[in-house]
Amino acid sequence: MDLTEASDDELRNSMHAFEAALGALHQDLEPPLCSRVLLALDGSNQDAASEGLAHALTERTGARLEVWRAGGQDERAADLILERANALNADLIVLCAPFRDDFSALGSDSVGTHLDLLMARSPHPMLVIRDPALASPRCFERVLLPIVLRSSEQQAAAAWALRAVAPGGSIGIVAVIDEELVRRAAWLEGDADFASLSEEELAGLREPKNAGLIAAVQRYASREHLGCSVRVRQGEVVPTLIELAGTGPHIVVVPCPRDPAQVEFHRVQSLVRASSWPVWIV
Amino acid sequence: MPLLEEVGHAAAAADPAGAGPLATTLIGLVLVATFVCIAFEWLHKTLAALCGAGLAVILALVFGVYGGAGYDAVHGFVHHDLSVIGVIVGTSILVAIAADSGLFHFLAVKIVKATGGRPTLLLPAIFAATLGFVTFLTIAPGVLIMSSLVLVITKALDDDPKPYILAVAIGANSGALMTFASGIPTLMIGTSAGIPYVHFLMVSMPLALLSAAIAWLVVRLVYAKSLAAGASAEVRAIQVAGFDEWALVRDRKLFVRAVLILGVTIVGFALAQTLGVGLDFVAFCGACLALLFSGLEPDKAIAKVKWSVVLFFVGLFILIGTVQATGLLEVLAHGIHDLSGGSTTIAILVVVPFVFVTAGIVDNIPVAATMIPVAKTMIAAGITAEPLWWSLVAATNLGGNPTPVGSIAAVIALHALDKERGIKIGWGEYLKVGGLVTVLQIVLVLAYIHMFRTLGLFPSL
Repeated sequence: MDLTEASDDELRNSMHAFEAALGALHQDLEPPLCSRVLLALDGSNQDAASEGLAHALTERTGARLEVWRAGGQDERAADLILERANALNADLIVLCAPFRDDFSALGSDSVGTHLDLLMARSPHPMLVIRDPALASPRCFERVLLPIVLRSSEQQAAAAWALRAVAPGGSIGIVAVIDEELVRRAAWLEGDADFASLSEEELAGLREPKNAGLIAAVQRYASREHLGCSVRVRQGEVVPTLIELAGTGPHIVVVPCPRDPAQVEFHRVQSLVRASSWPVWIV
Repeated sequence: MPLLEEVGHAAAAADPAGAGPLATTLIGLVLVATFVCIAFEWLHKTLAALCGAGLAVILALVFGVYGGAGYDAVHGFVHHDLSVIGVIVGTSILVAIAADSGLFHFLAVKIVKATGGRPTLLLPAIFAATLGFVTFLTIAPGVLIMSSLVLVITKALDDDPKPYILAVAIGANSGALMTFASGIPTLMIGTSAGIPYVHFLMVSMPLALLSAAIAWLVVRLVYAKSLAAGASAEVRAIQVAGFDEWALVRDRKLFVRAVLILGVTIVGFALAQTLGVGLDFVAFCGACLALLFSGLEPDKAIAKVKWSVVLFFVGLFILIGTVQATGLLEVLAHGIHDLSGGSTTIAILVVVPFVFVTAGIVDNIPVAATMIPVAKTMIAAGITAEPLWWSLVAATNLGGNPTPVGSIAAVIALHALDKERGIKIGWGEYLKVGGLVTVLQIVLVLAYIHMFRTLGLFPSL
């Protein structure tokens, strides 16, 4: 039936919004404790920026900052950083990934062997500095939090986003719909209704877990007088995030599985490679 | 057609050469056929209006109805009502942006949670929320949000959704009376009659609240048994508390901006006359502010304008303008005038039930469009303007209540119930509630108008 002034799709989307509010899984989201931070320096031109960012964070959180410096071309740098972080029981590692270096010889996704290893092995979240010219403490004013479907680290990433954001700053939750994936899924499912799904549904924002997560972040942002917006974008995930972050200053807080076999691991690698802004890997 | 110049409606754009009885009859038949197609949904209403307008224009040109003005008269009809179209487009953009922030869904859940799920509070809360949303969003988006809320909440509470859906369907028509821009018939009549925005707050807003209170009492009476059933009080309280309104929030900053821009636009509507600008200008300013400060892509927001509705109005204005140029509407106006013997009281006693019934059968927008030139002719012939205009405002909006196809609110709400829950409210069941509400509301409107007239409470136009 044609309602002329209100379509069936609009009705269904509105209902799904209320159903999401009803089914949202309640999550108590608080920023995690950040009392020990390990700053790993490698003598590169990114050291000063890394220090600046680490100091800004520790001053705000009251965390203790320990600096570790790599000795020349230390091939065991990743292991040494990890050993130090474990010994310190660090809540966060701040380190840099070579910026404007050519990683192509290391494969299509690599961000340098040390960081590749740390991404796969480190139980500690990592704040990865990229372009030193852009890594200023102002980055903490705008935190970008991508929603990754079926990620077991999503809630932790959201909690760290709350920790990362500076007072008075804002958190931008972003859900990216990969059109190609949606088309393939629609074809595989043979489901004609895919076309009528709203952006929010396609992006998974109506799923109880994500709806609850959004509610928790919004509630926290409201309480702490932070800005918070939820945006849905269509396109390939990494270029879309880079485009959004392009207007910076930003920090991108992203959940990442520790298993290199997972697609999401490679996506985070691609994000770090493509990003000029610091990336907080949880 | 001596009254045409006094009437000053778009038909004056035509330089009538005097339509013969054949042309008048044929064009009159086109009008009736168009209204029948709209009433029985034989054609999409936009298509019906455009086809009717096309046929009427051809007949008018063949029979020389437009006189010396020729085809230019058609542009005159649309030109005269551009302000109505401007308000619709402007407010559509503004409302789409405000709704995108999640503000209205957030508020709707807040209102439901405040009732604790108690049926004695839930039903009036649904009425009140419907009234509020329609006031600011107009009928279609307001009813859409409230119908979807009712379907979800009644499912969660194991309640019979019928009384709540009827509360939305019937309460929305009262909401359309609240302000100048709350309902399209209100907007059309207010624009044509030159009624200032603030007059609506003084005259039609109290009437809207009273008419909604009547509807609430009737729904409560008819559905007393099913309103008492459902889950236990504890379960209801837990279920309602489980709603997390924050999951619906897209942008809190946009919330605040939307509220501010909506507020500024409403103040702008109220001050439009003083500022010497049209409501369409105010609506477009509101839309521009919303587009500038929402962060929403302009293309996305503009695409949410219901262009089929705009085209429906273009067709309707051309059709009504052409019919008016034949002098047919004057015949109707004179008929009512003669029947009343020039008495305003009798004229209102005829017009109110007539409009209630026709709006209930056809669609209140075409009825309003037809009755505006009729009312202008009657006023030119000596009927007092204020009570007649306010009677029309009330009757065209509340006139949609008696049948399930009388208003867009009922169509949307009942369709939603059928489609999403597979529950139908038949004509008989609807008439039992809508009919009773309509009879009581006719009495209310007549008494209200009479009281305002007797006590001299109508602000002068």
